[in-house]
Formats: sequence, C-alpha cells, structure tokens
Amino acid sequence: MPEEKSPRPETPASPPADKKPKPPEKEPFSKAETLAFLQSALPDSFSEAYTFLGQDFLLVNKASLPELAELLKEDPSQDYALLEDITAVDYPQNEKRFELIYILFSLTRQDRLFLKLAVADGETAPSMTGLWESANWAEREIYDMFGIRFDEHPDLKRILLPEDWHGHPLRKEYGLAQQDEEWIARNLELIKPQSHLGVPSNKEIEHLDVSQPKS
Amino acid sequence: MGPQHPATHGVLRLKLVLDGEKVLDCEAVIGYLHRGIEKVVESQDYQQIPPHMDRIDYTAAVSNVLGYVEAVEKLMGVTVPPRAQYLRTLMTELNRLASHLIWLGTHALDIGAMTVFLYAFREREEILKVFEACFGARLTTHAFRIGGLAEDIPPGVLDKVREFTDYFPKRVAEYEQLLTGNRIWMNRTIGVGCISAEDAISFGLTGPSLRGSGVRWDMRRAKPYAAYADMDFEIPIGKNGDTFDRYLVRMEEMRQSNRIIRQALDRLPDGPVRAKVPKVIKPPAGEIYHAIEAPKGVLGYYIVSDGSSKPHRLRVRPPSYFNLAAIKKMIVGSLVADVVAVIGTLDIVLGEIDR
Amino acid sequence: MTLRQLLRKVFLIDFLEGFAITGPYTFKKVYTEQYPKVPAKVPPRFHGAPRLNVDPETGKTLCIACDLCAQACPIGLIEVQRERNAETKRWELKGYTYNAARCMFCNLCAEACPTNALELSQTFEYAVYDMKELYWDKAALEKGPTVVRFTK
Ligand code: SF4
Ligand code: SF4
Repeated sequence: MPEEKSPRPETPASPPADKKPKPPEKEPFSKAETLAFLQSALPDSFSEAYTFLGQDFLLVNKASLPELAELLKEDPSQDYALLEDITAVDYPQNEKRFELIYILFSLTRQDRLFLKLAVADGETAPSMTGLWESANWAEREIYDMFGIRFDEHPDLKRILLPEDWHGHPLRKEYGLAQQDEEWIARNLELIKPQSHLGVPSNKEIEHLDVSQPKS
Repeated sequence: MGPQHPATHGVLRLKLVLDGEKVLDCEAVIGYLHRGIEKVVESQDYQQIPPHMDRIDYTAAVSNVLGYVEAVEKLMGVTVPPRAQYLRTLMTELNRLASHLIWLGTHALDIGAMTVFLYAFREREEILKVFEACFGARLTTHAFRIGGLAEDIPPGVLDKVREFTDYFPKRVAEYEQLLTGNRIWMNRTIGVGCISAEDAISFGLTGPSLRGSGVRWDMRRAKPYAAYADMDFEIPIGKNGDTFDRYLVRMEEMRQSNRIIRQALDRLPDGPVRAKVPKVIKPPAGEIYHAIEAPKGVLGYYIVSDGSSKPHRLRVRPPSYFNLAAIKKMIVGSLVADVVAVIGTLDIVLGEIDR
Repeated sequence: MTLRQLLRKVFLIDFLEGFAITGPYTFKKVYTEQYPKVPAKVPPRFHGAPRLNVDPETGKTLCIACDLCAQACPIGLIEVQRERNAETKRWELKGYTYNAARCMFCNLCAEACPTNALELSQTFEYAVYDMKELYWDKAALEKGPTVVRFTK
C-alpha cells in the first residue's frame, strides 16, 4: 500500500526571488481626493492617514467618528455604502489598549477604507448602528470578546457566550484554556469540568494503561 | 425554535413571537458551537492554522483555507506560482459547487422536495472524491499551504474533473426541471423573505443573498484573487430579493462555476506548485485584510502580525454571521412555515457563525 | 393567469415534468455504495490511521527521534520520549505516544517527518468503544490498527 505515498518528492523550488523582500512600510495615503475632501469638510476628524500594503487607514478621533462615517457613507463622491466588518485588536502595552477597525467598502468605487479608533479600557465607543445595520451584531461580538462598550447601541449584550459569563476571552490576559468555572459549575453540573470530554490531557496519558488496540 | 431542529442546519435557536401563524418578532440566539477559534489560533504557528480554518465553515473548507493563506502570502509578499494559482481556483470552484449542492439539497428537503436532496448529494459525492484523491480528506481538507499547495495533484484527477464538468450542467438542468416550474416550490418561495437592495447592503449581506436583491457585487470581480482575473464568468443577479430569486442566482452560479472550472482546466499551466517559503513562517510586523468570495458570501481575514511566528490577532469575517443578522428583517410579518424557507435560503453554517 | 398557465395546471404539466426526471432512474445504474458489505476503497493520499514505518529488512523503526512531528502538530498530541545516547550523541527513541482521539488528520506531522517514519495510512476503520484505546504507543503504531468486523 505505501508505494505511492512513501517517498514524498521534493517540491521543485520556484526560481529564487531577489533575496529577502523588504518589510512593508507605511506610505503616504493613496486616495488623494478622499483626503482632500475630508480635510476640507471635517479638518480635525482624523489624526493620521497612511497606506499600508495597499490598504488605506485613517486614524480617527473618537468625537468626530460618527460624523466622519456618515459623511463617507452619504456623500456621493465617497459612497462607502457597505460596512464590511468591525473588529478590534488588543495591544496591552498601549496606553489606549484597544484598537477598533472599521472596514468600509464602496460598491461604486470598488475599494476599501479602514478607519481606526483607539479606545482605552473602560472607555466607550460610538455605535454605528444608526448608519449600518450590520454594526449591530459586529459590535455585540466586540463587546462579548473584548468588553468594549458602545454608546447608544440598541441591544448591547453578549452574543456568542452565555449572557451571565464573566470575562472577555479575546483580551490578551485571558488564558487560552481559561473558563468561567463558576458558570460551568452552576450550569453544567452533570459534567465535571476537568474531564468534560473524557479526554485526558497528553500529560495524563502516561498514567494510562496504553494497551494495543483490541483485536 | 431550535436549538436542535433539523431545519436550522446546526444549532441555532430562534426566539419567535407569534400571533397564530404569523411571526411578530424574532431574535436569533447563537453561540452554541463557539469553539474560540480566534483565540486558539493566537497560540498557533502560522503554518498550523489552516487545519483550524477548515473547521470554520466545514462545508467550504477549501475556500476558508484559500482566504487565510492568501492573506498571509500578501503580508509576506510571496508570489505563488501560476500552476498553484490555477489549481486553487479550480478547487475553490469545485468547493463552491459542493457547498451550493448542500444548500440546494437541504433547502429543497426543508421545503419538501426529497428527490433533489438525493440527486444533489450524488453530485457532491463526486466532488468529495476529487478532494479525497488530491488532499487526502473529504471535508476538512487542509487543501493549501502557505506558498502554494502541499504537492501536485495526482494524475488522472483532471480527467475526472473534466468528465464531471461535462455532465454537471445537465444535472443542474434536471434540478431546475424538478423545482423551477414546480407549483409547490413556487408557492413556497416566491415573495418569501424579501429584502430590498438598500436593506441588504445596510445589513452587510454578501454573496448570493445580496445578489438576489439585485446588487451586482462579487469579490471575485471587485478584487480578483487567485486566478480569477483571467477567468471569464458572469455574475447573476436577482430582481425581487425573495427566496426564489436567491435560488435562481445560486443555480446560475453553479453553471458559472462550472465554466470557471472548464477554463481553469483548459489553461492549467505547468510548473511548480509551491513557492519557496521559509520553514518557520514569520510575516513582517503589520496588518492585512484579505477577503474572498466564499460560497456563502464575503469571507475576510484580518491578520495582525507582530513579527513573530504566531499571529497577534486573527479576525475572521464570517459571511453567515452577517447574513443571519438580517433574518429578523426577512421573516417578521410572514408565516412560521416560511421561517424554514428563509433559514434555508440564507445558506448559513453555524460553525462559521459561532467560530 | 394566462391560458397557458391554466392549461399547465389542468394537465399537471409540472407534475409530469418531475416524473420525466425521476422515472428513468428506475432503470439506471444504482449509485449507492454498499459500504460495509463491499469494502470502500480510498485513494493513496488518504489520511487515515497513523503508522510508524519500520525498515522492511531489519524490522527496526525508521524514526530517528527528532521530535519534528511533535512540534509540527497544532494540537501537540504526539509525544516522543527520547534520550541522548552518551556515546554516539544521537537521540534514541524510548517511547512514542499518539493520541488519535484528538487528531484531526491534517498530515502536518507526516509532512514534517524527515525519514517518512510517520505516515497516515489508508486505514479508516479504527472505531473503538473506549476512547482510551485510541492512545497508541510505539508498538501499536507499528502494527497499525486491527480492523474488527462485527457480524450478526
Ligand atoms: S495529523 Fe495533524 S493533528 Fe494529527 S497528529 Fe498529525 S499534525 Fe497532529
Ligand atoms: S518526525 Fe519522524 S523521525 Fe522525527 S520523531 Fe517524528 S516520526 Fe520520528
């Protein structure tokens, strides 16, 4: 049986490219007219604009985010009609540890714009639900996973985890195997947390009687 | 309704407020399948992540892995050899067919057409056999590696695929003959679960669900990836945004996928299938968003790298998650029996919603 | 309703169209696989039960105890117990456990193996009643799982 499988042929290498590619760097913002438009309409709404690997980022100030987003959505010259996603990244070492990223897509121009907003722990962010319905669940998930609250969100509660769960799993200090033991004890009494799948960890295997499969 | 209900295609719970047979309000409760994949992958090396990505949308594992590896390649600046690009396109389109066939079979079964289910799964079986021969597994294929494919596809498979593309359009015509003019099918789908184009965009609907409302937007066209820039295909759209239109869009998409597979087969170049990538993959510090058109809609990956061998953050934008959010809009005011049709037409996979 | 639609309805045309498709299947070849009766064939690349290959001539294991497979596995379910031989300065294999209960058959471990010692074989019939039987040690891995066929 193993004939065809055994010697795995080396994958022929593609012609070597010139040494190491340079690490990508921030470049000046590539959408000149959008930048000019925003600078004239809302001059102090963003602190930095740059392009990284072909993606255009705007670092937005919290107070002017709703206005800026509305302008980008409604103005016919911009027309970012679709909010593709909202996500968050946790940088524990930063002063404002969370970064919210709004990914906008324009169906007429077929391009993306990324808005970034830094949020400190405990700080709230403005909700985009008034502009885009898709923000509703996206913001609920961010609240669930990171614990960032959104002002004026119609129904801000946990979405993936149970409502009375404690902790926000995607924060960096949350352990990989950490669970809300109290919740589990309260709700899953039947099942013991330690071996709740009946699968001992690899360390436990040594103590098991590892016998050959029965024949 | 739910969480253990055959028509919810997984563990989805819908809280419905009813007045007799009429739905007054609806709230979707999700999270029963939450496995914390976004957390788990933060502890994994980049090359160890694709098997986890398989398990996000387990009916379209190949597209998931494609989105992920392309995102990492973009961040690293790796150019994938053309043969690998074409093979990726081919396999992803086969996967789209497989996913749409599951949708067709289960959707028709929910509405009461048993035969189509059996026929659709027969064709899907042929596709899964191709995956099995190429990648060694049927569902969670772990199809692509960063830089290309693990190894070239075995001989003989391409002939099988060509044979499949020959008869597949006839099979689609069979399904259409069974359903499209069928009076029960039409009564159960026309005018059910309507959503206007503006609402669909506002809810972030993507994929066939958006195109059923008449918005011609497809990531394969908007931002071509893999070898889609060389492919000639059409993007079907609907008019009314109801269940019947979404059905027609998906049926036409299957024909178009078949066309893409044919083109990929005809133009498949020779050469290596894997670019040279280091053993330990350490993308430069930075962030990347890459989105592909998965069978269910736009599947995006947001990867933040801090220059180490493990991602700092990996966010998956699951299409089903946003599609399901629109369910309230689509079913309030209709009958309970239509809820089943709407869940089917959204083509959700709970593994992707809950991650 | 146009006349055409009315006629279609009266003569049950859509109904008959459906039968035109399903009817002929009565006479076509049956597609179903009779799996347990007829053993299923899987392609050579299939990722099934793991196997530690031995040198066919000497019967010694091909594994050089390099631990690469254990490092490649996303779940960390392989454990290579090894010791450095004081004289030859080489690793020597003391034991090998493979927790097939948690494996997702992604083939990363077999790809990492430099000597093709570890391989995912074509056997897929390794279902057991007790999960503990899926912890395979070196001897079990070299032997490969035994397929048990239950009959009435
Ligand atoms: S197949 Fe994958 S999951 Fe299983 S042991 Fe190998 S690397 Fe680990
Ligand atoms: S990678 Fe191969 S040779 Fe190395 S320890 Fe694992 S099985 Fe043995």
